[in-house]
Parts: sequence; structure tokens; C-alpha cells
Amino acid sequence: MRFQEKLRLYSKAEIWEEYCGFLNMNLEEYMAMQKRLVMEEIALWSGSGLGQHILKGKVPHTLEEFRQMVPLTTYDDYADILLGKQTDLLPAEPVLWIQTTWEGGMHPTKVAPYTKGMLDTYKHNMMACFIIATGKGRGDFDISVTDHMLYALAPLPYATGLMPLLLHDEIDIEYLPAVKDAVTMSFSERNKKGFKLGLKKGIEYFFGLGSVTYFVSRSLESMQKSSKSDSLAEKAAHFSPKILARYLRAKSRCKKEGRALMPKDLFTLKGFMCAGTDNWCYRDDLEELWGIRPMEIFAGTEPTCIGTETWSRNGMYFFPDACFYEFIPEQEMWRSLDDPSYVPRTFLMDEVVPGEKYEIVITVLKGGAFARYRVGDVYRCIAVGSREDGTAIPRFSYVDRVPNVIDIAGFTRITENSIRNAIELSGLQITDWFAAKEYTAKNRPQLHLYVELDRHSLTSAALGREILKEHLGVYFKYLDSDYSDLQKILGVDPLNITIVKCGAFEAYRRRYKTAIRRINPDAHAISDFLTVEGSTFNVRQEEKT
Amino acid sequence: MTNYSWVPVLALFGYLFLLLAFASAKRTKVIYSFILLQVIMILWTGGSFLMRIRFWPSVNLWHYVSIAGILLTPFGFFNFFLAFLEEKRSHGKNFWLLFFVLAYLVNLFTEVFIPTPQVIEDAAGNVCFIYTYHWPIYILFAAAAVIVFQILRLFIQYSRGDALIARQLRPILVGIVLVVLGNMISTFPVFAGIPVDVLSGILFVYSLFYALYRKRMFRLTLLASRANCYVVAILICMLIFYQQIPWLRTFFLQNLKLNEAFSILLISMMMIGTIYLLYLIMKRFLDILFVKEEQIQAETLKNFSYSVSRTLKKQTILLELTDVIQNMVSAQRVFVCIDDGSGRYVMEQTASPLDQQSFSMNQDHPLVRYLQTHDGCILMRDFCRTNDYRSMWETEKQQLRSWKIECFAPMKDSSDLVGIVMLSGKPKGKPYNSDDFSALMSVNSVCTMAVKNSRMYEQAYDEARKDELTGLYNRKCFYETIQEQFDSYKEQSLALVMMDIDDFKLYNQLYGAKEGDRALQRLADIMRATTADRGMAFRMTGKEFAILLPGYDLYSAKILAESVCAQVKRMNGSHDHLYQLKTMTLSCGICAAPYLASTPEELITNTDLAVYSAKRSGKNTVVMYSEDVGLREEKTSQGKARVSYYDTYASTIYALTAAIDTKDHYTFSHSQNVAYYAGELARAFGLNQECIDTVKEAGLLHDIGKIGIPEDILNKPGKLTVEEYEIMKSHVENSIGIIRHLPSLDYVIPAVLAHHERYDGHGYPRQIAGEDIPVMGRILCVVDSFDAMVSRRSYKQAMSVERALSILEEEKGRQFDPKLAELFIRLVRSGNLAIRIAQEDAEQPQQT
Repeated sequence: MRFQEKLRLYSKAEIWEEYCGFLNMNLEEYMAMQKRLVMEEIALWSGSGLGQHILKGKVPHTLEEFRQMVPLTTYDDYADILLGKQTDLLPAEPVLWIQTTWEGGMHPTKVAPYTKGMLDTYKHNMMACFIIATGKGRGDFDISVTDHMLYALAPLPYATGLMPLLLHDEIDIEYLPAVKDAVTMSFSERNKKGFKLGLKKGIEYFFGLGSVTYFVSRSLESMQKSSKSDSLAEKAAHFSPKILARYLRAKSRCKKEGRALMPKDLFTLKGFMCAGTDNWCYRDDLEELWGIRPMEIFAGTEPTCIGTETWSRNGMYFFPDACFYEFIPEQEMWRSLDDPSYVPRTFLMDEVVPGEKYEIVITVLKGGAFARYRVGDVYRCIAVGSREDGTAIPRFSYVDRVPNVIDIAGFTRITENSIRNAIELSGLQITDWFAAKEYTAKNRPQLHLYVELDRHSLTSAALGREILKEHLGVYFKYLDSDYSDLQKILGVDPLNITIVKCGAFEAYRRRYKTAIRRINPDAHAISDFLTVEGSTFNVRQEEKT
Repeated sequence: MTNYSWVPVLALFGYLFLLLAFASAKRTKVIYSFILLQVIMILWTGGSFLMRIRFWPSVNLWHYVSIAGILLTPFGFFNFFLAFLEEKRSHGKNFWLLFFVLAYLVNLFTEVFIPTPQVIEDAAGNVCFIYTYHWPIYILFAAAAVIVFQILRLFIQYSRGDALIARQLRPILVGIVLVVLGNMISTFPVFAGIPVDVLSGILFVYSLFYALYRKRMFRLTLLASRANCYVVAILICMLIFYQQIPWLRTFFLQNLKLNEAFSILLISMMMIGTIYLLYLIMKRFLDILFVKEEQIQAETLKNFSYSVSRTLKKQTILLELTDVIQNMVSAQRVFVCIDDGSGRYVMEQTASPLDQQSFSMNQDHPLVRYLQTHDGCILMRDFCRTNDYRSMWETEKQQLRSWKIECFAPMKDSSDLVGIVMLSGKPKGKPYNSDDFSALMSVNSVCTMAVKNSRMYEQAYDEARKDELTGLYNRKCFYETIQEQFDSYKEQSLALVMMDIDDFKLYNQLYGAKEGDRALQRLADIMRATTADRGMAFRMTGKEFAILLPGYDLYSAKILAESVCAQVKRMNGSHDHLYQLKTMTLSCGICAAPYLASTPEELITNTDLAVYSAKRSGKNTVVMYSEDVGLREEKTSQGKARVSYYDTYASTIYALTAAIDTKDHYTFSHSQNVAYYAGELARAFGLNQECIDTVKEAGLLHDIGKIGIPEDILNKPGKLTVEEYEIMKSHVENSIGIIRHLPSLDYVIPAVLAHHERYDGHGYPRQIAGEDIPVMGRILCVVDSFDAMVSRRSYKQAMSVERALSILEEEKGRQFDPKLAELFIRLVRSGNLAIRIAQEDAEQPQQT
């Protein structure tokens, strides 16, 4: 039965209970569901060619044996079988394959199989997100078949393209523009078309990556400027009467307040969802623009849709039937990053400690291919339960990608390899470097590259900061299409470069008896590095922007 | 009465009809509120009607009755609306009740709101009621308007975004519109004289009734009550006779020339007769429509209860259950899973044998968990919407989908989930309704008790017939069964195999009673599996078993018995133990009727003789009864005498101990001393002569295993290293290894095996403690230690007797059995036990 039929047959409370009932579970019930479902996955996965490829003949029969026998995995462990789409080796028949970019430059794509059971769960959990996003509290939601959704997500075969399809399976809300049309449009065309349709039909829901939703929201401003010349009659042709009335009222209000027109002046959103990384950078601005705070959901290619915030917008809960969750404590994560041979300990959902940061490890349920898989995301456990939400299960906030990956606005995953490749290809005489994800004064993420140049090349080549930035930017774009999209779609150049004095790296090594970490050294290490560089050599630090 | 005076009558009867119908409905808050509204409407309409016909006692009284109804109507409706929404807050309900009651009282004494109408009768006898209203009436209108506003606000609040509630409330909204419209248009001149307001009141109440029906708070069959049939019959008669009475009166008076009184009597009789006739016709019609189906269901349920109460066989009960469910709710497929006693719900019955599958659900199955914690039936589509469904495996979901399950009905006795009935869809895709659920729950509750009773009966029956330890049938059952089987297979054949475990007492002594019990269970499993459904296996006594094989001849029975023996032999090597288990063997005897027995008793006796023959032939063999066997066994039993096997092996033992003497010359005399001391201690402890002989023989043999210990360890002057001590300890197993080859002396093994066990459990090799150590082993432990202490060894001097006794004293309860150690000390000190000390030891200086 589709969701829209349920709207006719069941009360709000019953529908809410069906989709969001997991929020009523206590921790014991939650773990019972997790442990029961993972037993099915253990049987399927261990019996499959893929499982045996990793288990090498061993067969776990209990959860404890599974956690003992199956090593923590990464995509490399699955690449041979999954990239070849060897379906006969998978735990269950896949219905479709979802694609995403892998480590920029090294591998073109990675693919993940989705079974019917996974898709059903994905759909159910997406509807739960949708319900919660439109509600003001427990048991409340506001969804109607006649509503319209503006969405800023990549189409299939990317995971984000699944969401409109799955929602469409449940309810006939109208997408702006229609999904089949959107596939053939460029990003900016889609935005323009979406807003134009929105002005005619109204926009009740907005869903996209946090960074993209922000960019799309700002684009309304530019669209507004470009259509200033339109007469009222022309506007009346494009606007619905209701929105035209709101437009005229908003115009005078904006004039009085001396500000630009904002989406909230024209539209009243019922639900606003965003996914991806760095959402916290945009949330306040988005709330200002739309008058409603976006609700963060957590989804990915490998794990599917695994978690959602609630009406309180204060921490998210993991769905109990999407994946089986294990958590690597921060210290163990660092240790395993420093020593890849080290096997970090993992903890279950009922073992997490509030305040601690954890790298998540998932086993995708319902015949999923990934077992004990390190997705590469770090979460902080905020608390176990919430009085405000009336919940009793752990609540998390998204921190970032694991420290050896720099993710900018949910678009690109920059690793040590990708930076090294860009530097090598650029031919620049950079002798040493490290990179860190930092935030600008406007709270926007950036890739900050600290480079040391070869002292001999300084006299023979022009190596100013802008030249380096230009040069490296070109090669980052060349190697990583996502990096390129960042600029193409959002118009953002995330690269910032600081040239440090020759010998600074060596001085740091001498002082601290260790080299500074290449990717995301912690803030103290960077500060120490800059102190060493400044105090020892008295060289002007490049001005950061 | 005017032409439209039937309208209030109709309204009155309409309200009465609903009131009587709801009087028998299940009382909930909303039903109560609806009944209250009916009463208020009856007051209004009835009071008004009786006033207009100027009914006894006075117009004023009926006027005040109707005013009570009018004033309480807004409150009654508001009360109903809140109950319908299941709204917990009162929204000023009590205030409104107080307000309208006060308004009524004020009006009663002052007539400030609605005064008593002025009755004017014209010349033609037509009566007119003139009301004169003043401005205070608008206070009442305003109050009613506020209530309507409150209702509309709640309506919007509840139905916003909730299509289901909006749909449920829609008939009520229509009712409000109708009643407002009715009252409005009644003021139009064109409707003058037509009681549109009363008509709209009827429509209003029936729209509320429809809302209740839509919310499934009321069953239509309740309308078909006996009382309602009377009400309707009276109403119809009144309408008929209202028109026909003048004509009938004229007809009786003028045409039939009857007098006035007789005419009235006749008309009254006709009216009563017509009412009764109408009642009968309506009742019959409604019975066909509604009640008949219920009666059929009740009859079916009664028959089912009767059927299942007559049997204690679970399968019969479940067969009846599937049949009755198919009859009552027309489910196409029915699957019944019953708790097997261990919390596993096993599919035991299906409506069609083709559906029978090996299927079970454990206690952690989400469906089981759900039904354990919830009462009543649940539709699959509703179960799919629960958290429990989310816990289900995809394969489990697929399984239910493949059977097209649409409904689950628990078989529960309070919180005990006895079974689960799963039903597929009904023909033509008809949905399951609340009537089906009621029927299912009725059937299931009957069946639950029947299944529980049958389970208890089966359990008691099994307990009475089966051996608790092995699960095989017991001796009592054997004697019952052999007689039955003998009679049944008189014309064919019946074989009996009896099996006796060889030296089982020794097995128990060697490995303890627990291991013995385990061995019996394994043996029973083998017998059960081998016999399967071809015969029955029994445990006759502790170590005696029987297999009854209907239709078997001697030869087939022998093959089966040999198969059991072979499996038992294999069983010995299939278990991990720290030490090698003694081989368990069976002595089997076989006899068969009618070849070698003509009565069951003879069959048993002859088989017994065959078992004795097997025992006498060196055990571990299968003997088929023949006349020779019978004669031989009879003779043997007459001249039975105890044979001391020790005599047979005495020379061998002497040779072996002498061989040790060449390696360790202490051992030879030590063994003899230990045998002597052990015999004396056993005698003093009160053991019988057989045990005394056994412990003496064990004393002689207890260190025989030292023959396998390297000489340099045996004769090492100093303290042994850990490794050497380990080697030394192995002499116990070595001893057993040697004695095992003397089958007739194996009864000494328990004592030998246990002579280094400590009373506190820290000895070796098995580390058993206390009374678990065989008494002969404990005796050997005391005397072995004593003799070792008072003898000289390569590594120590001889100890004085007194010192040795004090060590025994100190170690009692730790190394030694306290009673035996105490007894031994007493024997020595009292001089009742002579101490044997070797000449050379006596000459050597002794340790103190």
C-alpha cells in the first residue's frame, strides 16, 4: 500500500508510528532488532562468494564469531568483485547498482549493489525522514499529495537519484522539475526551471546537499535581479496568484527593510531536508533564507539512508534496520590511521559513551555486500536518548569524514594520494607539504595547503601564491571531477595556499622528532608548526584569506 | 392532529429506535454520550409533541419537558463530539452543562428565555400555540453559537492533514449543516406549518449514527433487536390505523351494525393483531438478514466445542480447528503452529495436506513476540506496520508472502501463547472484518484450552509410560504392550530382543553415575533410531533393555540386535575424554513367537534365558533362544557358585609383581602389605566378604602399573622433578591398562583407579572428591599412604608408626576419608591391626 493511500485509511498517529516507531524503542529493543537482523546478514554474507573471499573458508555462526572472523574492511576488499559486477558472488540478487566517485584520481568510480530488501528499507526510512521533517513533534506531520518538492540532488546512478524515485513509489508529490526532465538538464537549468515552476505551483519541500541547497537558495536572488525588468503583467503570467500576492507584499517589506528578496518571502516550506557533509556551515544561513531550519539526514552510497534528525534538530538517530552499526573510538581510529596493521576495537550501539567521537563501521543488512565496512565517517555521540524528543536510544551528530580524507561541502574526497598526484603532475618544485580542512571567516570549508618550495627553484621560476593556486587548482580539477563540479556547480574555489619558509618541515621534524601528518594534522600540530616556522626563521607567513 | 403531525411522531420513534438499539451496544464513552443525546432529543421532540396534542396532565408540563430538551441539546452534542474525537480535555463542557441547567431553572421560574406559549383554539377546533419571545433568548442563541464555533474549531484542528479523521467527522459536519439549515428554512413563510426543524433533527441524529457506524463503534446487527421490531411495528400500525380508524368505525357501526363499545374493542384487537403480525414478519426478515448468520456461527462453535471436548488427541483437535475456521471465516488456506513445549512454534496442521511444510518459529521470531504481547487478531497489513515486522528477516517475510497470509490469530490462554493460526485471503479478495475476528477468537479460545489439555494429557501419558532418563518406554508399558502386540500378531510373528549392559556397575564406579546416565541416554538414542517405527524400545530395569519387534522373525531380529551392538561399540570411541572409557558391551537374547513361544510370558522367559546364556558365554554376544539354551541355563541356575577369578590369575599377578620387584623391590612387599591393611580396614568398616576380597585383590594390583615406569625414576634417591613426577603419576593409568587385559578381574579397576584421589578433590587422575571416590579407593588411599610412610624408600627413610598415624590424623578430610583414617588409627593404636614392617626397615633408623 502506498503512503498516499495510508493517508486516507489511517490516522496521523498510526502513520507516524509505522514509519517513526523506532524512536519509541528502548535500547534493549533496538539492539534486539539489530542483532536479529544481522544474523540473517551473517548467514547470507558468509555463504556468498564475496563473504568467503574475505573470510577465506571460515564460517561465523554467531555475532561474536562474525566480529572476530571478519576483518574491518574498506572498498579495496570488495573492488575486484563489485567493480566486475559479479552478481553470482553476492549475498543476494541486486536490483540495481549505485555509483559514486572513489578516491579522486586513483579510481574512477565505486559501485554498490542494492537488493530489493535494501530498497524497501531505504524507502521506508526515507519516508520516515520525510515525515519527521514536516512535523513539529511526536506524531505530527504535514504531507499532502498535492505538494511540490524542489530538489537539488544528482540523478541516478548516484544514490541521491534514488530518493525521488523511492518517494515517488509512495506518494505522487510533484518534483520541480519532473525527475525525467531533470535528468537531461544542467545543474543551473534545473535550478531555474525548479524555481520557475515553484513560482507557479508553490514549493512545500526542499531537499538537497547542504551546500547545494544554499547555492540554489542564493540563486533566487540573482534570478530576481535578472527579472527586475519584467512587468507586473509578465510576472502574473509566471506566478500563481497566491505567490504573486506574497511577492508584492514581500517587495514592499524588503524595500522597507533594505534587503534582497528571500525564498521565505515567497514560499512556506513544510519540510526542508539536507544531506552530505559540512551542513552545519550552511544551516543558519538556510534557516535565515527559508524561515525553517533544515533537518539533516545521513545517507551514503554504501550504507543507504541510515539516520535522521528529528523535529528538535538536535542530533540524529540511526535506523535500526538499515545497517548493523559498530563504532571505533577516536583513539583507536587514530592508532589505526598511524599503523594500518593495527586492528582497532569496535563497540556496539549499546556501548557508546556520550561525548566520545567514533568512526562508524557498518554491515549493510538485507543482503548487502558490505560487512564491517569502514565508511569513513566520524560521529560524536551526544547523549543516550533525549527528553525533548522522548527517545531512549543514542543520539549522534555528524563530525566529518575520517581525518585522512578532506571532504569539501560533500562534493569531493581529497586524500594524500590525490594531492601528491596533483603536485607531481603540476611539476611545481614543492619539496614538502601538508593539507588541512579549515573554515573561512564566513564559515565555508576550504582545503588549506601548506607548501614548502625548493629553495633552488626560487630564483629560476615564478612561484607566487596565486600561481601555485592556479596551477594546483587546474590539476585538482583534472584529476578529480568532483573538485571540478565544486567550482562548476557552486562557483566555489576551495583551495587556499600558504607558502612556508624553506626548511620549516625539517625544523619541525627536528623539534618534535616526528614529521607533521600530511592530511589534517590536528589544530595544535598546525599551530606548533607555524610557531616553529615563525620563531626559527622569522619568515613572513603568507597571508591567509 | 394536522397532516404533518406524523413528523414529530416519526422523529420520536426514530430516536426511540436508536436508543433501544444502542442500549444493547457495548458501552463506551462515545456510546454513552450518544445515548444521552438521544434522551435529550426525545425530551425535546416528545415533550413538544405531547404539548401540541395537549396530552394529560397539562400543556405546561410538556412545554417544560421540551424546553429541557432544547436547552440541553447544544451541550449533548458538544459532549458527543468530544467523546467522538476521544478528546481528553473538557473544553468547558462542564461549564456549558451548568450554564444550560441554570438557564433552564431560571426559565422555569421566570420564563425569561422561552415563555409558555399561548394556546388558542379556533371555532373549527384547530389549536394554535403562540410564542412571544424577548431579547434574552439571544443569550441562548449566542451560547449555542459559541458551542458550534468550538466544534468547528476542533473539527479543523483534528482534520488538518489527517484524512482519516476528516472522513470520520464529515457526516457530523453534514448533520450540523442540516440542522442549521432545517431550523433556518422553517422560518420561511413557504414552509409554514411544515416541521422542517424536526425533520432536520432526525437527519442530524442519523448522520451522527452514520458517523459512529463509519468509526466501527456500532454493529448494524444491533438494530435487529426484538425491542426495535416492536417499536417499528407499533409505529407502522399507528400510521396505518391513524388513517383507517374513521373508516373502520363507520364500517362497523353502519355496515355491521355493531355498537360503539364493541367496535372500539374490535378495532383495538385488530390493531394488536396487526402489530404482532408485523412484528413476526419483521423479526423473521431481520433474522434472515442478520441473526441467522450469527445463529449458524453459534451452532458451528457449539459443535466445535463439543467435538474438541471429546478428544485428547492434538492432531484431531487441530484438524477440527482448521475445518471450523474454513467454515466460519472462509479462509482459503489455514496454517496452525503449536508451541512444542520448548518455545518453538511448529507447523502442525494445515487445511490442505498439500500445504504441510516443515516450518517453525522460535520464541524470538517477531511475529511470536508481537502476539505474545498483544491480544486479538491482527491483519498482515497491520502487522507490516509494526516495529516487530521490521525485525523480520527477508526470508521470513518472503515465506509469509508466498503463503499469501492475510491474518494472524493467536491461541492464547491469558499471557501464554499456545499457538498461532495463520490465514490466507478469503475468496474473491474479501477482507477480514471484525465479525471474522470475533469468530476466530472464539474458536481459538476453545481450541487453546483443548490443546493445553491434550498437551497435559500427552505429557502425563508419556510420563506414565516412559522412562524419565532415556525417554524409552518403561517396564509397565512393556507388559501392557507385549500382551496387545501378541494378540495383534498372533497370526504373524513377534520377536523380542532383551539386552543387558555388561558390567554396568563397574562402568558407573569407574566414571561416576553421571557418565553412566549419559551412556544410557546414548544407548537409548541408538535403540530408538535403529528401531524407528518398526518396533518399540523399552528400559526394563537399570541396565536391561528390550525391543519388541512386531512382524519380525528370529533372523531379522538378530540382524537388528547385532546392529545395535555394533553401534554401541562404536559409541565408545566417539567421545572426548581425558582417559579412555571402558568399552560398553551388550549381552543380547532373542526369542520370537510363535516359533519358540506360545504365550507372552513364555516369550519373555525364553528371551531372559537367552540373555543369561549370553552372559555365561563371556558377555558381549547375541544369543538366539533355542531349546538347548533353555536346558543349559536351567542346569546352571541349579548349581550356581561363586568362582574366584583371582585364583585363575594369581600366578600371573605374582609374576607381574615379581617383575616389578626386579625394578623396584619396595613395591612387591608394599603391595602385599597394602592388601593386608586394606582387607582389615574394610572388614572393620563393615564391608561384606566379597568387598573385602575385592579390596585385597585391588591392593595387590594397585601399583602394578609401575612396571612401566623407568627404573631411574622409581629408584631416584632425591626429590622427583615435575616431569618425573608426571611420569610417576601415570602408573595409575598403566595399572588400569594391564588389569583391563584380565577381563574377569576388571571389578578391581575402580579401587585401583581411585587410590591416588584425594578426599578434597586435588588428587589424580580424575580429581574426584569425597563420596564420589569409590569406598575401596578411599581405603586403598589410607593404607597405601600409611605403608609408604612406615617403609623405607630410595628417597627417604622409614617413618615411625606414631608419626605416620599423626600425619593420617592431620590429613583426614584433606587427603583421606576422615572416617576411614580415624578408624585405621584406632585399629593400629588399639593393637587390633598388626603392623607389618620389613626387617631391614626395622633395623634402619627411623624418621620421626
